[in-house]
Amino acid sequence: MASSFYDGFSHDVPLRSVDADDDDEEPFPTSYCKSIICGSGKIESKCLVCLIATEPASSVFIDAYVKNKEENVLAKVYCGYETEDDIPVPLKKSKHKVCEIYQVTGQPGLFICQCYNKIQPEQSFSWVQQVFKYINCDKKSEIVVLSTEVLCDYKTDKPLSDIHPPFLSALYTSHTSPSSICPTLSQPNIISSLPAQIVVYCEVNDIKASFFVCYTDVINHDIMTVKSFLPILSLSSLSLLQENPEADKVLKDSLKNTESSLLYL
Amino acid sequence: MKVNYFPKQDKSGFCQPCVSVGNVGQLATDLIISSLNLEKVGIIYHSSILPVIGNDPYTQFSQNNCRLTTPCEVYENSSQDLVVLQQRSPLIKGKKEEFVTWLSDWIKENRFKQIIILTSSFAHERVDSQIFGCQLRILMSKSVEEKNGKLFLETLKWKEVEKRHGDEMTDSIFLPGSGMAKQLFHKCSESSVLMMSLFCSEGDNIQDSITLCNCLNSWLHLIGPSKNIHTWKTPESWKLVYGSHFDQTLFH
Repeated sequence: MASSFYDGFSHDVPLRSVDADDDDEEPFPTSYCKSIICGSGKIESKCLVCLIATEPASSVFIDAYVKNKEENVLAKVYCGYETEDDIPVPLKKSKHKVCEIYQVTGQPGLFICQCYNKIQPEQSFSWVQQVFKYINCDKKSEIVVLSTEVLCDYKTDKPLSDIHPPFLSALYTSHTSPSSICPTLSQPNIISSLPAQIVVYCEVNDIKASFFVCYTDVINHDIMTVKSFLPILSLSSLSLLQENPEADKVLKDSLKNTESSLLYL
Repeated sequence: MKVNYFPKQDKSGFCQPCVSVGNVGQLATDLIISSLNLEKVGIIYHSSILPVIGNDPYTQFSQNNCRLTTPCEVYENSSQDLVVLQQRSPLIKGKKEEFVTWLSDWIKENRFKQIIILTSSFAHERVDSQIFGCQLRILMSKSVEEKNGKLFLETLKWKEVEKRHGDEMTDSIFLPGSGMAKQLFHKCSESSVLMMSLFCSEGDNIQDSITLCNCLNSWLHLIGPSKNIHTWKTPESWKLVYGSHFDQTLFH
């Protein structure tokens, strides 16, 4: 392991692509890579559009600008458990948000999925299988995926002075026409974990998917980062969504308890 | 698991990198795909591979173009006699056996004529006699040894993986850091399989990948017999593979 530095904080990152001893591989516990959906029974309507926020900043964006107060949680997704019985009761009853699936009021084919915590890469395969089966996704569905990445992971030959974070970049599956709201992600930048798993699933199953990533230079999401997702509301697939008139107020309230970085005060 | 590629004939050569020290096998595979203009013909979607996506690593696009790249893809040349599998991300810890079993079954089903495994091994694990000379080590299945053993060992002067003292009773192959190469070799050993491994350390491993490609080229003549570095076409994505350039205004 080696330490890399950004924003004044040190983070442990794996340097080697392989372990020193390939033969002594200790697997994760079998349940670690599993996900389980707990909620109402089978959904009758097929998914036409699903908007997925894969981490806290994009979830706050959906809370503020997209979600209606009347929408009820259809299901919650728990990672690291094989069956519903394995989930500890305090966790089920806890108000601590994990990952929730909604159906937009008055729009039965329109789903929203929010992850309030980052899903581990090892858990993402099971997560995608479970969620896409639950919301009845097929080749007619359109998926919009949102995520954020730290600016220090962005590789470019542009001078630093020409980069103005936060900014959006996009990737699309083969059957999706690129939108004009932001440029596509340039090489050799890559995206991993849950957003990558969702897009790969869509690509393999011929589902239209658009992925938007916001590169930001703050550790904890701020108003600028959250608002950088606003252009996605102009996507034709999301035209049925109605922007919350009290979005700014909800946004300010939701960010009240967020720890801010002292470096950017 | 899902594969959307099936070879059109059973005469193809098959090349497979392993995620190993310095990612040398993967870099070498990138060079082969880029230099031979191989076409993407399929995707391998498996629960054991960690997810990763990006834009096409081999083509320079304008701002609004996208050709999605996924963790494990199959490439083929126009004459359909070379199939290359590129794996871009590591396997989930503890799922190596599952993936190797699946991959070896898939390789056998497709009846590839020649299987080549590209990998690398920790340079710091070398013994004194391995420090100088060619850093390539090979491992041949019985059929490869009978057919090409003389060519590899005498004409091309390649060396077989040396046995370690005391290892004979257990496993004679000692290639730490080579990822799943050893397991895949064993599972495919009834077929015609050659494993090529290069001793190296983590760092800028571009030169190591060129060395590995040159060795392969001296046998298969993929891009002609020349050992000139510039004959290999580096992919567009290698421009900033070791990070962005520093800000020149720092020194004004």
